[in-house]
Amino acid sequence: MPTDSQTRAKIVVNNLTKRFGDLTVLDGINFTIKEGELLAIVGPTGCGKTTFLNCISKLMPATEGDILIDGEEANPKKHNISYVFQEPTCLPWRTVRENVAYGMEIKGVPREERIERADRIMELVGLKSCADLYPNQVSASMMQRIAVSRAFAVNPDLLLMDEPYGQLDVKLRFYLEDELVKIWQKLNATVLFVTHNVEEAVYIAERVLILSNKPTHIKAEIPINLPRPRDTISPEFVELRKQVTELIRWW
Amino acid sequence: MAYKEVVVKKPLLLIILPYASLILFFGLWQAVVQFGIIPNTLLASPSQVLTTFIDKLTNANPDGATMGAHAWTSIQEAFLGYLLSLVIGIPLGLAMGWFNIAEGLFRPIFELIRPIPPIAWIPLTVFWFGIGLAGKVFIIWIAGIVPCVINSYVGVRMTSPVLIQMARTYGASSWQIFTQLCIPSALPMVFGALQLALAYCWTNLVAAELLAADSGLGFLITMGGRLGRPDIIVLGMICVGISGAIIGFVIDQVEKKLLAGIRR
Amino acid sequence: MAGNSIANETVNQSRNREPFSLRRFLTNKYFLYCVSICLFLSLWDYVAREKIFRDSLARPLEVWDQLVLLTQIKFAGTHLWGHIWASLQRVLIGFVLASIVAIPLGLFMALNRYVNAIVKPLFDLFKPMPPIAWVSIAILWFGIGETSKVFIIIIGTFVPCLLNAYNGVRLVDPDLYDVIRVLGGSRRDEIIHVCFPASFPAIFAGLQISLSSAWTCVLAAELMNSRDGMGFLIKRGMDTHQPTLVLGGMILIAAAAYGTSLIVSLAERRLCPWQRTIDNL
Repeated sequence: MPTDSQTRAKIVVNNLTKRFGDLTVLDGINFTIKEGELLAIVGPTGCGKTTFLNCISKLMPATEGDILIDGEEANPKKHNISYVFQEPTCLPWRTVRENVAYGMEIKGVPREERIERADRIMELVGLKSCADLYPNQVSASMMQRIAVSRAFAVNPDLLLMDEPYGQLDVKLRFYLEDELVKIWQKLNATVLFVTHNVEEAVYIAERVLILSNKPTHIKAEIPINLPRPRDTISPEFVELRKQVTELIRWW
Repeated sequence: MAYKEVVVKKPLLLIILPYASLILFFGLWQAVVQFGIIPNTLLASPSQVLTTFIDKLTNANPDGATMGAHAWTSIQEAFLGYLLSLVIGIPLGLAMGWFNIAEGLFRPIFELIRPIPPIAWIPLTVFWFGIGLAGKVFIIWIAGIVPCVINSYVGVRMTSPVLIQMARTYGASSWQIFTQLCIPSALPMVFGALQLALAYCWTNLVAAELLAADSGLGFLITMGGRLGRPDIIVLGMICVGISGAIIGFVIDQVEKKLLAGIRR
Repeated sequence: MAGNSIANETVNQSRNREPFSLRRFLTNKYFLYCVSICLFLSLWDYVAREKIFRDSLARPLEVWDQLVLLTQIKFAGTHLWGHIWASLQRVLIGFVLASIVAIPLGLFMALNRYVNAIVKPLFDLFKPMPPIAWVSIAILWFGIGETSKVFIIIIGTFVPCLLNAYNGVRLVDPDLYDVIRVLGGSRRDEIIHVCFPASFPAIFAGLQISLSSAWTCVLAAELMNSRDGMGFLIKRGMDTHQPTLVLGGMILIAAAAYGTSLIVSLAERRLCPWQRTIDNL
């Protein structure tokens, strides 16, 4: 375990368990996320990734275990938790800028600061040119960028991402992943990125957790210490990707 | 590069047929009465109806009021009842869609009252309010509130669950989600209710006036029936139809403006 | 947090194993339904007992007694069941006659533009006229017998049936036709395998609207003039100032309207099981 002094554990998950009736979906999950870390979680299809995220974000009460942020029990009203969903979540009746500012609005950030911060983030992700358009006037990839910007704009304690780029084509996905890494480095956010795409996980994360089939627990943990920007055809990358893939396959 | 206009040639017959059909209809109607195939005591010809209309514009006989006065009474009643049903029905439906307590308390009563045809209330309203304005406004209110509540309720229920989850992860309160997400996303359905409620109001207004009134377009029809004057009956029916169509058109325009206003 | 049940389906599954709490019991939907009904009845009872509307509102129990009494004695020549049947019969005759003409005509209008060009303008002319406005002229034409009542019901049910059949066909997803065309189907195949099934839900929606319109019409006709039927009970109650009779008639007609609409929705579920329903409305 890394015990360096400059990066402390921001998020601690202790024995997270979720049961629906007799069905155990999550079975005693323990892990920590360091401050400013980008952690990816991969797992086979149907391993309860969404349940996992819903428990962490407190959308769903966990049966057992607790989730601590800075040593306190996580609470969406107190902590800044952001969640980027698989499908684009834009409010169709707000402009792009208002959408980006929506999270801050709920958090009660004053108006001027809201606009200033939204503009700064939009600059970063290249949404500046369509700030005054409505979501139905922009493309699907733009919609997902809006959600990502909104999530970063609240300066989240924890940013959860649920396969945000799953529905995009390969080229666009790499582009947006690069962009995500760029914002993450700039804003020093703590990110938990869930995906079923091994390459994506290895490409962006600093550390990859591999989940098992149901009842889900953590099967392995692999640190990715490759320099950025990463080269997807370098031998080290391919080796790591292969290693993760081997761990996921159940056949 | 200029776009080439795509011209779909409509057969001439298709353009003529609608007019031909209308002309034939009115011609037949006129002929049937004119040549006595249907006796004049049962049906008035279009020309007679027109004459009666012009006469009724200034003449209060035989039913006690001029055309304008009848129309004004009806429109007044319809709008009061309509506005009341909007003011009460829409907030109620929205609240029922989101808050469990509102749904639990109002849904059963609503479901009990809904299948009663509004005109079944006429006797009770006559007992309670007499045959004046209040009774009719009550009936119209009952008629108009049903589509308002249903549409607003369904509109809120159709709010995308992902949007709600998104807001909730940011720590939004129930009230914030209701006002910021549910109401805007229910708006198109609510606008749909405006039209629907108006149609209901108008139909039931006529019924209310047929049974218990001393003026109004429905009353004009009843009087025509009592006096055995088919020209007055047909005139009343046509006026009801035309005013209904005009009000519907106005609401349609208002709706378009409003929807353009919130730019969805 | 009060309520909000949309995003909580998954939560509700696990909720039933949480420990019992008074607050949760008090906000339980079914508990609230009971509270609501009880409140409604007691408010009604209170208003009637305190004579807020003088003697023009009957207490719920009095209404119930009146209905029970009507099943035992003959009122205006027939039992309660006779009155119910009289109204039901009129509704059924009018409803069936109108729908067997209106639905095919609506389909025809949507499929053939020449038929459409002839019928549509006439239809648009009659559409904005409330069916009840026909009552007077129907009495003038057909007297006060059965014919005039059935006529009004036909007028009232015709429009929604036709309109929905017409829109049902016109709003069929064009991609569905391509499926048949790609398989080499003829125009006939398109109509039989795509048009008709795809317009079914709209037709049923039209039938539901027609049915509620039919009940309104039969009531209006019976209120104007009749010797039996549920509308007659209400009218008699109005003329003799008996709120019990009026309220009893209202309850009966509501129950009848509800029952028939239930039958139509059951038929719909049987005939188009692939139709998804929004909630339970």
